[in-house]
Amino acid sequence: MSTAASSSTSETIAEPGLKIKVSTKEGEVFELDEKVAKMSQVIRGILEDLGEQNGGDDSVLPLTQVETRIFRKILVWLKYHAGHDKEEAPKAEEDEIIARFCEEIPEWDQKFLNVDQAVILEIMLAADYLDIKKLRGLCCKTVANILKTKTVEQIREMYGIENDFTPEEEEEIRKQTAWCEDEPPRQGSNH
Amino acid sequence: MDYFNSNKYEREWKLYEDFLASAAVKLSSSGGQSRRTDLKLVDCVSYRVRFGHGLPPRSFIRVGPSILYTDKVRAQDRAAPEGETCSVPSGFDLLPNEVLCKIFGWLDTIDQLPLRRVCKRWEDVLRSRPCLETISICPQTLVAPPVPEECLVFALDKMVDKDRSRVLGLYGPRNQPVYINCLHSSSREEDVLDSIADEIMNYALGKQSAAEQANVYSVFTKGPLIRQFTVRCLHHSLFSDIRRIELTYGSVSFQNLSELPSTVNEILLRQMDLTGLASLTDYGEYGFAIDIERAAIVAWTEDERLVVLWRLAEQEVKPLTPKQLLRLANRIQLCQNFVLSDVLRGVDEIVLRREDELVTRKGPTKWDLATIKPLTAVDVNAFVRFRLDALGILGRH
Repeated sequence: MSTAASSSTSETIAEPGLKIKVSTKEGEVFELDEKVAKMSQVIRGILEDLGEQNGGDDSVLPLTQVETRIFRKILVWLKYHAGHDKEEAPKAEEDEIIARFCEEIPEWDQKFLNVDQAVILEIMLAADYLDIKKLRGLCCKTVANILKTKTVEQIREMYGIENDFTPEEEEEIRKQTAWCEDEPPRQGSNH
Repeated sequence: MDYFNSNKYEREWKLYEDFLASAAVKLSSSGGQSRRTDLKLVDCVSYRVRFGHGLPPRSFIRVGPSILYTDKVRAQDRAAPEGETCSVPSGFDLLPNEVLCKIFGWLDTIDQLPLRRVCKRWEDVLRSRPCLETISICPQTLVAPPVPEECLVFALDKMVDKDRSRVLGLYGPRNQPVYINCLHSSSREEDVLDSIADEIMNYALGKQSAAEQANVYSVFTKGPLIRQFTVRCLHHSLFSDIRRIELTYGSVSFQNLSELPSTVNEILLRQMDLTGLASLTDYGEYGFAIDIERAAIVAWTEDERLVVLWRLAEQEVKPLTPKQLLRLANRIQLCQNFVLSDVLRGVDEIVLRREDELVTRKGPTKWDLATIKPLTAVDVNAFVRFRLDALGILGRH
């Protein structure tokens, strides 16, 4: 069934079963187990659409916007979770599953995402592109936790976001939201 | 303002199509001879669309899925004379709004609000987040906002247990409870603000699951008296469906009740101090009220809308004494057009509870509600007297 990789830059993963080949932005080809590849809903959808005819052919699915260094990272995650996760429950409950999964980020995933902020965003972007909901949810939660602890200015600086408000606009929003920040709750005096 | 009818939109569509075309060419020229050569990039896009990602050109240009993001497009976008500025794309610039929303979804509103100041896009996204399933209202001393209307106060049902808190539960659409947190009632504004600060702290500490938080729009506000705010909240279109209100602890006055939206047709009072109602017997257009200290039956009618409020003391409140029961019966006559069976069921409940304590007594133990309907107010009085007599707990004072 499996075919030898034709590209010189390819990287094979020696596992039995159907292999799916994908290429990254740089053109590097990865060969994935079907199970691993199908954790991406986009790849799964494409494969299903192609039907049974995909066995044994050497075409490569281009993931043109995923850089190799990010894809390697995602691959680590996919392989870990392909091996460790229980069977996916029906789709209807997907949101719930993700919510539960992310509620307390497992230790392994915490370590996995213990990387540079920029990298998390890139992983998130790639996970969104590949439609890997769990991974995306994981990244979202992680980023949210970080946002929580930062001031607006810190966030802008951290992520290189330009402040595109006019001073007046910003002041307006500041007024609307002022009560919930920059003002430590006063100590309660009951009498 | 209307992006989707603008030239910008059209221009972006053109770019989008060009891009898809060039991508498809690139793909088929590099894809070899395999059967998959007919698999175009478009397919990836259509999958995304099918999965509900949606792909308007706006997302394509500005925050689109990475699949569509080319340097070419980016450069052209940057060169675009009008429209939102999109400087050096940072990680966040690349993220679709949908993902941004998901990130914010993990934050409660207290944390979300400051983020609105980060940039226009965040402001947009944060404003548009669906929210407001939970609000909080402080009855007498509460706050009305110098904030936008969508910033309603929230509360958590978890706070029910907080002894200083009062909880007003609203049952909203789809029968989901909407909780209104009633803070410490005090005439001093500082106390109120302190309470609010406490509640904010508690909420921020996250008593709720993140999934719930995502649905909770949580804003505390400062300002004038809450009563107006209460009414404004309740008349908010989001609550147009509210039909049942539950009040726990605290006190209530007819003024409060009269301000409820007209959709409300059931009100439950639990362990409420009803002295605000007690002093009044005839509430004019609002009807009449009966109260027995902390346990109370209230009934009133207004136009076609008939409201019966009755909730007799629950566990924490001591059961009614026979004397109180009698007073209750006497007051019932004051009610006009109330749902007799409902009131009587309430009475019956008390009586049955008393019966549990008086098992040795002989007497009727069941009251068939079907027989109640023809009763008049006087009959009610007689009924109660009869029941109490039967239990042998009357006339011994």
